[in-house]
Amino acid sequence: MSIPDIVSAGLLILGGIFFLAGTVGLLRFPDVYTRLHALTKADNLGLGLIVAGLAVQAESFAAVGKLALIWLLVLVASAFACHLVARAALRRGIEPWT
Amino acid sequence: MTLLYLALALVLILTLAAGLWRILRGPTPADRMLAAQLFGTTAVAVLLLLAEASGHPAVRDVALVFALLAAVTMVAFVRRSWSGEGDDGHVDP
Amino acid sequence: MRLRGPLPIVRTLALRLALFALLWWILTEGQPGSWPLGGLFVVLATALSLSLSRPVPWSAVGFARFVPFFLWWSLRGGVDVAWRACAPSLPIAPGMLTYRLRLPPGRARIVMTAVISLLPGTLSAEIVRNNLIVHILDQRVSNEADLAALETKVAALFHIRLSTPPSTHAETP
Repeated sequence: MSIPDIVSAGLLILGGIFFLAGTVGLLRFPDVYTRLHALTKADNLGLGLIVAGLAVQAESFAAVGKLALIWLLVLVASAFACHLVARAALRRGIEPWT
Repeated sequence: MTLLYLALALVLILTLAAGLWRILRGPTPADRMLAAQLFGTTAVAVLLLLAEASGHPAVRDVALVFALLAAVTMVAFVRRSWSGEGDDGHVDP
Repeated sequence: MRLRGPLPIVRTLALRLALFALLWWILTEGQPGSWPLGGLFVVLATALSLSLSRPVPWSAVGFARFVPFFLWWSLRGGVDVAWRACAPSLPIAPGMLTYRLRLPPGRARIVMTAVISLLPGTLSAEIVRNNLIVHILDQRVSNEADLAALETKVAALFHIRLSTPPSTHAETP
């Protein structure tokens, strides 16, 4: 394995670990708000690391740009979805676990 | 490297399945709304890994469209719901 | 950085042309044969975007400072929540916090609301008038300084001068 391969593999595995941690949080956290924390932050970091890992291997700068664009779009979608779900839960009167 | 991409994609699909279990169990309707987010992020990651593993970079465009739809939907939702609130939910024209 | 008179529209035009050209280059993965068609679409997209939205006053310096700040904090946010999810004792103490927004309604607030959910331990739940209701993952950590820092960064991004000092935060019982 060449050095870019090793860097890429490291980033990809790290990304996978954050996805796993996000799911662990989804299963262990006590209410919808805390689960949203886990899902939004851990999964986005996981995707960011996977995108970075693939960018190391990418065939052109335009491909790197496309990967970055995909991450940015998911980030935007995820941040807004997170806010909307939390707001919907609050308006339905779901009490935060304390 | 192809083996790593495939193995990682498999791990992500398994985390997706575990997350689905939580979503099906609820207990509140808001917990089920988490599905949208879980699917969005994980599916994009899986598609990107498969694009690399299969050697068809065009699969990346599927991930791009997926991400684009999710982002546009969410921005539309936010603008719509905030501009309808009157007092300070006002959004720039 | 800050231009007055007829120049902002020129600056906006140049910026949007460059942005759509970059987007086309990314989408076609840099195939040179696509540019005759691409040029047409870039011009059309720019014209459409100018007719749909007015120039946004934003600061290039503010943006350059915002990006590394955002990347570093979202990295911290992910590491923080991953650690809390996996630690055997589940070290969380969730609660709600009301943050008095100094940003005016509009784009700046939308950006702030979105970014909060990616920072360590905070999640925007609702906006009631000028109060942002934030769900926090651990009440034992002070999140208000983080929120004020973020607000300052977002204000710098849009050339907004914040009125009141950041010492007026109200906390819910």
